[in-house]
Amino acid sequence: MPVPTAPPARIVIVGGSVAGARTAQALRSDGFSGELIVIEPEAGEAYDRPPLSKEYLTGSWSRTQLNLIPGGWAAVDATVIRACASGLDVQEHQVRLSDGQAIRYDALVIATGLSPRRLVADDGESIGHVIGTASDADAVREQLREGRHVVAVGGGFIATETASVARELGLTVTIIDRRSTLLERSLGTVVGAHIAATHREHGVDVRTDARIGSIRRDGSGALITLENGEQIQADVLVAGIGSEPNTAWLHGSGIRIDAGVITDARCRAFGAAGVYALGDVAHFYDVHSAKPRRVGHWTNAADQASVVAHNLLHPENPVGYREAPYFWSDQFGEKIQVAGHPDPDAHVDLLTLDGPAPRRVAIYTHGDDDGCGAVVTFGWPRGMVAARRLMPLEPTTAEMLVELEKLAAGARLASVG
Amino acid sequence: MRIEAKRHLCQSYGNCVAIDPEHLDLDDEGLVVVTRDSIGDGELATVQAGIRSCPVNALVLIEGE
Ligand SMILES: Cc1cc2nc3c(=O)[nH]c(=O)nc-3n(C[C@H](O)[C@H](O)[C@H](O)COP(=O)(O)OP(=O)(O)OC[C@H]3O[C@@H](n4cnc5c(N)ncnc54)[C@H](O)[C@@H]3O)c2cc1C
Ligand code: SF4
Repeated sequence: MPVPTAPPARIVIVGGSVAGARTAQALRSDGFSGELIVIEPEAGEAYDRPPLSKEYLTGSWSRTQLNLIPGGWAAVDATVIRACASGLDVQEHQVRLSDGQAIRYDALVIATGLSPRRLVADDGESIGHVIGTASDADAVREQLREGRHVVAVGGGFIATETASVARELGLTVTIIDRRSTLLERSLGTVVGAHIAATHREHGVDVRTDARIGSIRRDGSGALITLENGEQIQADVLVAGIGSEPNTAWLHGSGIRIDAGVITDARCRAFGAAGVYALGDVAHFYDVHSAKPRRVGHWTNAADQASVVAHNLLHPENPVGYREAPYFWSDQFGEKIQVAGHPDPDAHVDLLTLDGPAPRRVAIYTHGDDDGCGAVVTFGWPRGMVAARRLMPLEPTTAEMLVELEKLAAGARLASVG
Repeated sequence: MRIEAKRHLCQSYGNCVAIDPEHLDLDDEGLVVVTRDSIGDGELATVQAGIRSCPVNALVLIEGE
């Protein structure tokens, strides 16, 4: 296949959320003057997702505060087609839309993200809320005004953040988690137990090792029976039980899919030329671990956008994506920030560092060579900046600790260089 | 050209600082500060990536100054 040397004339982006919006912005700031088409079923401007289970859910932020692109799609001169992509013809270079239209592309960017899984009631129909879109969050917010008892199912970030918001609003909250502690899958048991303790201190009824036997519809609420026979009545039921990549529209197109769109390190999909995928939907080749990886966090989507835009516009000088793993969560007024990939099986030190303000951090040691695999800070953004600067140098846990101790004791941030 | 930080919007995510440590830092309260005004030749792409990395659009590029 000849290597294309000129940038494409018409770029079509499917999915207009974080990954799609940041790609559009990166293309324009990198000088792309061709035609930019965005296919996105949701009305309105591109908006940010993390606040949906945080500031937007409490009601303290308005919808306009969620806007991702200053000045909106018009500011990046994008034509937005309000439709769902339903198929792809890689031979004809066409995206098929749910309304029957076909949109031709020179280059295609797949940014369709994830859809949250739903709980299913005894009657076989889905039940309860999920938080994936702004209208999902609107519906939960509305119910939080009236409900008394909020039940969050799942022990991940959506459930724990929803619980935190509901407590802040003065509601009674139960979390039902089938694992042994909250956030076990993403942060492991040591940090998970610490976060679960914080939830309990704030009055959340945390049920771990709890499996749901059945869910019965009960007015606008639900009656949940656990496998141990215990019953829990929910006025508001919110599920945070994981999500599935939005790849159904690509089936049969020849694009390689396996728990997301498989890409190489340059974010190129396999199975067709000129097709890229990024953000939550992408199952990319991680050069660091030499394995495919799918990441459902904001910064990954925004960082990949720069790579996709660059590679689209500079095919003669392509770059690879090197993930600098980072994500955050806000719970009970505290920012939990995570750098690296916390291996649930790693050795974890949960420490309080001395200084003018005591700082709580968790350091993950991976493998046998004392390498620092991840750092979690609690309400200490500057500590996280220091950790993120050090991580690419692959420090040992001891080296990371020295750096954080110095900073906690009042030292200035080490300069980079 | 220079970066303007709308500090009242900053949520201390630190993304911008991770991408563009030459121009940005967090202060003791964890809020973004611009540490260098001049944007050198060849730095613009990094500056723009830093600005895009902010989830709350707290950073703006002021042109023509
Ligand atoms: C409630 C919530 C809280 C979060 N909190 C955090 C957090 O605190 N920290 C963090 O790092 N990350 C957080 N995340 C994750 C972060 O928001 C995602 O990583 C980010 O949104 C990924 O962006 P994306 O554009 O890849 O996918 P998405 O944001 O999922 O967007 C995909 C877009 O594609 C569109 N789409 C789907 N199918 C089609 C189709 N067939 N045709 C056309 N368009 C389609 C959808 O309508 C959607 O707009 C949170 C996510 C949610 C939902
Ligand atoms: S990325 Fe935005 S919110 Fe985060 S520190 Fe920088 S300016 Fe503040």
